[in-house]
Amino acid sequence: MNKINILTIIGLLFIAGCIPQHPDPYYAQNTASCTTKDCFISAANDCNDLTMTLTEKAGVIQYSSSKDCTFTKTMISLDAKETQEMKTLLEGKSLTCRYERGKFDRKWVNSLLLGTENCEGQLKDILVDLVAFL
Amino acid sequence: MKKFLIFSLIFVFLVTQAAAITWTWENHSTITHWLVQVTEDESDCGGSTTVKTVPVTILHTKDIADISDFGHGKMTGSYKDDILTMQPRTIKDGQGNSKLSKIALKFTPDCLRFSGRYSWDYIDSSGTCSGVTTLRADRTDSKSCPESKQPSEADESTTADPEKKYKDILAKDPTNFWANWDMAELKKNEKKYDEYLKYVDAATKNENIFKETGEKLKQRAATSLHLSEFPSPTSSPILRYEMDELDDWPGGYVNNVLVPKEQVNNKEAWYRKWWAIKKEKAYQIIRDLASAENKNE
Repeated sequence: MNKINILTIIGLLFIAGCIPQHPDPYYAQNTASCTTKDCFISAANDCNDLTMTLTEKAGVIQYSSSKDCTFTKTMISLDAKETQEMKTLLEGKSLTCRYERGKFDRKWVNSLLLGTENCEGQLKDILVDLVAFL
Repeated sequence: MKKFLIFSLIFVFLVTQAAAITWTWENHSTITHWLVQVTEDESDCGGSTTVKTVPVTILHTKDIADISDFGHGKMTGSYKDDILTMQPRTIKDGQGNSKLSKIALKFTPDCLRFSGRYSWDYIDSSGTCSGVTTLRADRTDSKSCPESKQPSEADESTTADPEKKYKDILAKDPTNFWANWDMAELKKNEKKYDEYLKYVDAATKNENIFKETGEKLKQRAATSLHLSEFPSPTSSPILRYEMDELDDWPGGYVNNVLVPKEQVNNKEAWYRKWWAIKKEKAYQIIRDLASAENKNE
């Protein structure tokens, strides 16, 4: 095997070593970061510090978790079709839920109404009050 | 003896002062009647200043109040101390619309008068103009502040055995809304959630009362959320999202109550039931709304 082949093999091994082994961005660079709900739920379950913002049917929602196992959901903005009053009512409002490591409730991310019994915040109360209009 | 009399007078004075300090409209559910002098300045609209006197009824449900029409339609507002505030809104007004400013009505401490002033902008096909309306009202049904809420029929035996009282009522009338509603609250306080659900189920299936109270509930929610119009799943994407979530929900725990998935024929009743279980103060809210309604009959 000549030098070029050896160098090529070493180069390929070096490149392979630099490719992240985990497709889940949660573990990238030892800093939690997510772009999907499943990733966020997994990271939050470990009480990692991270924030994720998603555009959903209900609007743009920010999800945060912290090292002290606190989850925060914030309504950043509503759909453009909402009235200004609804936007004023909901935009910027948040709810907070405390949990134990390993016991993060998926419903906090996957639902607007469910699982918030032990959470606090204006967003929680407003979302329940809005059910009166159904 | 002299000292005893002085101390007695001081004691009585302090008790009455304490009573006066703690009385607020926010703690009462009642009906009051007023004669309102409405002064309307329409000079900018090619008219003049007119004065009329209008009888008005206010339905008080703790911090929420419904006022009958004194010229710009029925209104609902919320109390903070002695001030009743109605949020800005736009109403149909003759051939056009009137955009009303925020209205703050200040009540006197003796509950016998209120006053307020608001502006409005009128718009129709021929143009726009603005005006001001001033209100001065005198109480006509009483010379004092309202008393505390009267106990209702189902509350009569609260000092005895309330559960027996409710069961006696339900034995004769299993669909009695208030007996079911009060029994549900009793069971919830006892943490008997299966039984709680059974009584909530029966109460919320009573179409007559829960549907009527449901309309009041919407009005109350609109006022407390500062919404001039009721949102709907058609007009509001987030409300549509909530509706879809409840429609697709496979059942589960809500506030410790295991709520099964239902075959929903009456969706409105299902949403009301879910709200009744989820909303922590649902029991008292419905009680207060109905208490004010009963006094209106």
